[in-house]
Amino acid sequence: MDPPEPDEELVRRFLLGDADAFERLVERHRQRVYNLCLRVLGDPEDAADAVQDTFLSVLTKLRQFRGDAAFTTWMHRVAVNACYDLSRKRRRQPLLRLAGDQDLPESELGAPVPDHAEESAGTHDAVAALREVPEEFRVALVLADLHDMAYEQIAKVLDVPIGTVKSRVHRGRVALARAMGITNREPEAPARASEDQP
Amino acid sequence: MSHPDALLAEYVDGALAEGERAAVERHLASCERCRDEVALARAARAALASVPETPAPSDLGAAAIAEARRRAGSHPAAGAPPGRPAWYRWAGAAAGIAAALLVVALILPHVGNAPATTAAAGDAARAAASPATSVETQNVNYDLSGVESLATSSRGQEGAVFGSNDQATQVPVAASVTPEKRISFADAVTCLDRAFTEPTGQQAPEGQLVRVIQARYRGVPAILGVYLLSPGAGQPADIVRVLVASSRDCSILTSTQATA
Repeated sequence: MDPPEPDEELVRRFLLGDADAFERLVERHRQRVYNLCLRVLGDPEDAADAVQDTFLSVLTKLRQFRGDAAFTTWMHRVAVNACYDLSRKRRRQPLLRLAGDQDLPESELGAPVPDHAEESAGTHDAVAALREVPEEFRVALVLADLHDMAYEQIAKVLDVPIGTVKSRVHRGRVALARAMGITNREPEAPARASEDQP
Repeated sequence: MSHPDALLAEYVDGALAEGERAAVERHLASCERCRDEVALARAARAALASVPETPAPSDLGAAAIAEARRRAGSHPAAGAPPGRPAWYRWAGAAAGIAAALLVVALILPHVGNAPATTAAAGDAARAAASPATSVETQNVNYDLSGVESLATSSRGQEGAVFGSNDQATQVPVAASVTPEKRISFADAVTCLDRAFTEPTGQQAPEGQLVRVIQARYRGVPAILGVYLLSPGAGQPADIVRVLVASSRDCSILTSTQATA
């Protein structure tokens, strides 16, 4: 059985011309990247598209990967950017893209359009409610609470200060709970629950 | 005191050092807003902890892997790469294609595009693109970036892309993968023509059709046509256009192009 090779070694091998090494990178990270994109974008097909974009971008930019960050950090950054790009495209992509369209300016970044069709009060689960969390908070929240990524690493992925990450995670959690219809009771604050409840 | 949002995340995680935790709890004692938020954040964190991982489709990343193989095959790096090089997989098929081209050049010089065939046999580096004659079947779910990549990768490499390397991929892939009912070459071309001719104001596909691929686009069974457009007067093609049509109803899915 082959011992697991570090990502950076696979990158090195691919840059030397070994396409199998790239395939192994894709297979190793496909599941994680897919789940990241799925939770950020909220749609399986969009997530699949974003993953394809991610790995094509990784392939294209791999020579720019200097190894000064862990490959996983760098790849997550590429993936998050692919999700942001897809969010933008989803809101403005015409059915038929003709020559010259790519020169049009991108519209400003905003949250993806949530699909409210399946909403009904009280039935939100966390996954459905995630789509209602503002995108910047949602990305930080997914990385922290679904991917168990350390705040320091999230800061590197998103290229923002660590304090910003912590704030986004907190704000994202609060927004998620509200989107799930959780009220401001304090059932899980044991130190104060008894005296605060009427 | 302002609300310590950045500390509240770690407070909920239970990851604050003793001093900071005590400071947060002092704040919570006097701040109803933050108490409420801590309760909400705890509930959200617990809810997310029970969200299961979703299995990724097994073909995810196939377009990038195929592109990586194409690059590795057409641009082998100096030095001996460890493991099995990409060309190894295609060498046999490429040899078969080369033999087939030779047979075509010798036996059927009057069929199809004879000058192109002759040129391909005689001078691969400057060969004109061969017109497509068959449908490649790919188990790939393209997206817009994938289609753009297809156009870009076809740009300025007529000899490589439409010569032995890419043609070689037709043989093993088409033989082993059948994501949808196989479409005949004639039906595929008809579908592309219909998709890009019927809407008013759209031009009929122009240029030389050099590849026809049966795959999927955003999950929809699709036909991808790769066309080379030349400025004329015997000049080499300087535009690669990729048209994508649904193979179900021959509607337009997307198109893109790359210029030399």
